[in-house]
Amino acid sequence: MKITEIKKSINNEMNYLISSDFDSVIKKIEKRKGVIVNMDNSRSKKRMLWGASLVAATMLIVFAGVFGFSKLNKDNVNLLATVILDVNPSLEIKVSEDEKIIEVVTYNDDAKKVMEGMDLKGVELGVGTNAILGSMLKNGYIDSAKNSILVTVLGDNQTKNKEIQDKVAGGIDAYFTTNSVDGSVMSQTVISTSEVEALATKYNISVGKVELINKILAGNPLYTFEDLVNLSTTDLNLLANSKKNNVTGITTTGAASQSEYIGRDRALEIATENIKTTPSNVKNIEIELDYDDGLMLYDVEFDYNGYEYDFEIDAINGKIISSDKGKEDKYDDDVYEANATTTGKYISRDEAKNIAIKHAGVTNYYEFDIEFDYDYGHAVYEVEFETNTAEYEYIINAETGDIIYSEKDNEDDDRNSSNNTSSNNNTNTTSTSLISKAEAKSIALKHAGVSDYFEYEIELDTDDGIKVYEVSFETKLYEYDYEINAKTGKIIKVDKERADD
Amino acid sequence: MRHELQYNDIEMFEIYLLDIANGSQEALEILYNKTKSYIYGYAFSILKNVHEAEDVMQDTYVNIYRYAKNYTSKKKPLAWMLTITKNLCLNKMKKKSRKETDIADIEHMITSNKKNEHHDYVFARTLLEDLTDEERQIIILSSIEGLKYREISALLDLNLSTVLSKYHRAMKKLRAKYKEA
Repeated sequence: MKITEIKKSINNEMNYLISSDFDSVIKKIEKRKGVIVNMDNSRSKKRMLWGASLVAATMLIVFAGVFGFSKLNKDNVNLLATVILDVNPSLEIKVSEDEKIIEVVTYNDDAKKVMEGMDLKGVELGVGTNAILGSMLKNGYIDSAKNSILVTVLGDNQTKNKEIQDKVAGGIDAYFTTNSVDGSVMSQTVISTSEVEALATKYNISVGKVELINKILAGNPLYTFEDLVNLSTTDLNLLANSKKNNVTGITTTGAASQSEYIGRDRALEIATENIKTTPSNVKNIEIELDYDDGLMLYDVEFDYNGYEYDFEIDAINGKIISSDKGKEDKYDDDVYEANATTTGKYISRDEAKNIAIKHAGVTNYYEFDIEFDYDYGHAVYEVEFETNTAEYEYIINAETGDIIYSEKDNEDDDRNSSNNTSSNNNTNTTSTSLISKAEAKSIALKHAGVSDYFEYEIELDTDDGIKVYEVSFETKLYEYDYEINAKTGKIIKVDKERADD
Repeated sequence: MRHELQYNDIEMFEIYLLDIANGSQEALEILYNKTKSYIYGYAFSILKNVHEAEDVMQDTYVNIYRYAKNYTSKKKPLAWMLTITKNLCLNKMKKKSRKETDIADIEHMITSNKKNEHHDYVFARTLLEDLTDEERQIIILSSIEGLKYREISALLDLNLSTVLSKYHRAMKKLRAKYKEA
């Protein structure tokens, strides 16, 4: 049995093991509270507001007053939006339609300390935000190491939310500049859902932080919520803006401080020292901050001397957690093979094929398959073919042409049984009576009416017990796939697709 | 030929993800039909339990639907999807009182599943009985069309050479088993 057949069988078996259908996925999607497909949909909006009103008990009265009933609170002021600020102090500013502060709700003790002796009711939002920032700086919650703040805007009107997000984030950025703080502002708007509220309540963090973590998780599902929940706003900023994580939906100005960490340059130095060279000697450098198993670490990658190196370095103490060395460009097998064979570094597929066939001492063979691979530190060709009496597998060193491995399996039970059936059927079905590849090719080309083609390939396969040639080729306009009965030459299947791009 | 088709598939997966990001359940359904055996297989290879694997498979598509708008990793849609699966599996494994190996479940399926009464699940059995955890995951991932060894080694956090040598060892075991059966 060929490797491709084994793979196909595994996939088939996995398919058979699945007992549910797509509807169960849809049911789960619909069951998930708060998944809002279309934000303009009035039904989802209602659900969202209802979810928001379930937030912590202290806020219940305000929310119910504003959203649930009259849209007015006790002081007859309309709530426009809620702005959440997360540094480590975490607090929430309720903003009226004329952009004044209705009230400030503190989420933790640090926030209480920040708000001590301050009454911002009725104060203009920008002025009030500056006052809060001033207090955070004075109390040491923002400094050169902890320099990140997260602004989250929640509210009924997405356009308005966006405006407030820009205004508040821009205001904070300006405040940092005028006060010579090297700070970084992340901002987002959020449609709060009951699911988000539940997580916020469970971990005693703001809805804004939950959303930020969710966005990082969506970009890099290798993290778990628990991993990230205890990280500081600055660390989350580093992860959210690490290229590794593809996080979207967060606007960031400034850069998160890495002063608690050794820094990217030092990380690169440590890695290069380890292989007894210097940063100036290596190329294609990529350094990203990552979080793994409770550690912040630098993922350092570069090429040196024909090898690709990958280091993981503890961001705090500079210890090398892991290192990996591999042949440069080893990964993209196709490109590698193409480059290497054209430059003459490797023998060609035909040469590899001849080596294997010659070694096997056969002249008639079929089911020929050859693949380029990188294995055991060598570039190799994996060659497979069959004769009427045996299956052959070769692994050939692509550089030297040496046979690394060869295997000959004499035909086994399944072949015998198929021989039996064929003789019982009394039809002429032995594999020797197959049409040739050239014949199959001309059948397909003739049918397609094509003479000018490229990317031509042909493979003999067994489909439902019938030997078929799978013929494929392309023209400038179309891609063709044919299945041709290898005994009768009859076309079983034609697939013609536009070759896009 | 295979490589050309794979490339097209990968491209198509990206187009589906774009549509899904815009809320298309039709695109999700197509993606589901094209990839469910991969997603299920990977979950099965980690969890070694058919019921949990099914659950994780469904949740993977729920999360794909939810987070498709965040997909940006160019040309690696499968790796992205499989990472979601892996994460869901890890969450599952943290839960207590899990039942791992369920050869019995497979036996039950073989005898009760009329649709496939002739199917003997040689490979599913062998995967559970004869392969190590890593070998099983490598075999499952390598049977996914269009997934590169590089992406497999990244998913499993193993060196490429380790992945390849384990792959060959495991493939040998599977072939031997197939001949026995």
